[in-house]
Amino acid sequence: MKRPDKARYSKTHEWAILEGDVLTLGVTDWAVEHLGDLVYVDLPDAGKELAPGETACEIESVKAVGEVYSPVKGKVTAVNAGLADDPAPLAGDPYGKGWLVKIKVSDASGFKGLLDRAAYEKHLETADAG
Amino acid sequence: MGDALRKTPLTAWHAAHGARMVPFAGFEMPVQYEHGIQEEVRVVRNECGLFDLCHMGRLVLRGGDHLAAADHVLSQNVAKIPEGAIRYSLICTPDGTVVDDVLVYRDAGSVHVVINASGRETDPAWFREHTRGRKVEIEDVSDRQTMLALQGPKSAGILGKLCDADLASLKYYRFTRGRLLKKHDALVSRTGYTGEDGFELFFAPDAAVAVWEALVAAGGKPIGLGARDVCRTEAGMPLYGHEINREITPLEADLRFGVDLGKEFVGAKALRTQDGKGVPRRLVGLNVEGKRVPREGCAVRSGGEDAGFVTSGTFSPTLDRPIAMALVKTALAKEGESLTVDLRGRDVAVKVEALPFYSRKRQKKTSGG
Repeated sequence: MKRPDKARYSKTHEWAILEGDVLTLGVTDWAVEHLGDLVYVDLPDAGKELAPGETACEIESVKAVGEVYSPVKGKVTAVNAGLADDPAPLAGDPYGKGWLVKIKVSDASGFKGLLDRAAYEKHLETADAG
Repeated sequence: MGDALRKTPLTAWHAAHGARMVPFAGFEMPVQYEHGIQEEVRVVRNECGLFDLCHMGRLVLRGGDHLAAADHVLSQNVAKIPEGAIRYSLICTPDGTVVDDVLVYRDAGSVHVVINASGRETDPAWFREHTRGRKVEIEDVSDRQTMLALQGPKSAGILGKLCDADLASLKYYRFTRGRLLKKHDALVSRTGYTGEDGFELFFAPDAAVAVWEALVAAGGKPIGLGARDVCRTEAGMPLYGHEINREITPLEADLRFGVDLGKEFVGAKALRTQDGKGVPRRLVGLNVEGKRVPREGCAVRSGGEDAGFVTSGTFSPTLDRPIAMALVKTALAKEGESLTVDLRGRDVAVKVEALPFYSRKRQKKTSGG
């Protein structure tokens, strides 16, 4: 799967794209693959304040739950509500139709610490760790 | 044992056929194949799933005192098991908590015990320690046998294509002998760990790939450990290390059917005492409000007070909802009791539900056990 160059990546397998002061957050194809069969996405309410490292949402698969962490401080402005009923777009298109939340960023410093695509892919090679 | 993962005779086959391999109890095992856990559960419930169970352990007890020795270690009344029949049993500590749960096969002149993969080191040592001085040989045959399972309503038809044993007259929790592919001697039992009809096969390791591929060709579909765990949870079956361990007794885990309190065995005295006083907690099912899944270890509360903990939880593809088992205080272990589960910091409402969550519609021919 093509991982977008404009996104930044975390070692915990989130991706984030910052446009102006709005950050779009999702999880990588590696995360989706390793969670296995997805059954439910537990999304936050719009307006929720997030701190860096705080759980933004949870992805339930049959056998596991994956927590998705916000890399930044900010406020949730939109969620991909359709995923709550049908997580299929997350499995099929994690960098497009499978985006999770949009955050209006009040402090972007956490974003600057994320990896670019090449560094993330190197991380995947060195650590087969989820 | 070192750090290297052990392989079964089928490990290479799994890896070459789309399995995601994971470490499990020291073995490299398939957790799922390419179609995923939900599809694999559907196959087991509707068709026929194939399981590589070579990682599980198998002991054979023989010798003049083998029945008395087995009866000293096992909670089930082994001497009363008819030849050719199988019973579920526990191995208990003197405190009545659980060392392992096993299936006991009563054969002519011997007793076969199928143990968990996690018990392969501890169980043989436990048997030897607790039968010292008796006339019994305890042989670990785990590495000298392939163990496979077929599970699902189409299992008898598929196994029948390559096994000459009389499967139609083999009742649930009974075993027989036959040949696979006309040449491999096998012990065949009508047992399993999914809640479906099915069989478990024991035969020589060098025939593993040939038999497995013949079962696949006959319509069996490989199933990984992920779907196996979902199926056993749907069927309300305990998994060692989760519903039972060295801190939980079989009476608490609702496994009374595997315990004969009328005979002497290691742990019997403690269990009789607990039975007299009443168990302090019991294993129950949880019916969960919403779609978030309670996972092992989540705290269960009643009116904000500690009530127990979740032992296993999964999403059930068969029922299309989350299911969980929990050990809760006996006073709260009533069907319909309203409790909450702390799901990663947020309380979710649950109701106590009778186990199992799922049971197959049994056909008259295969009922019993």
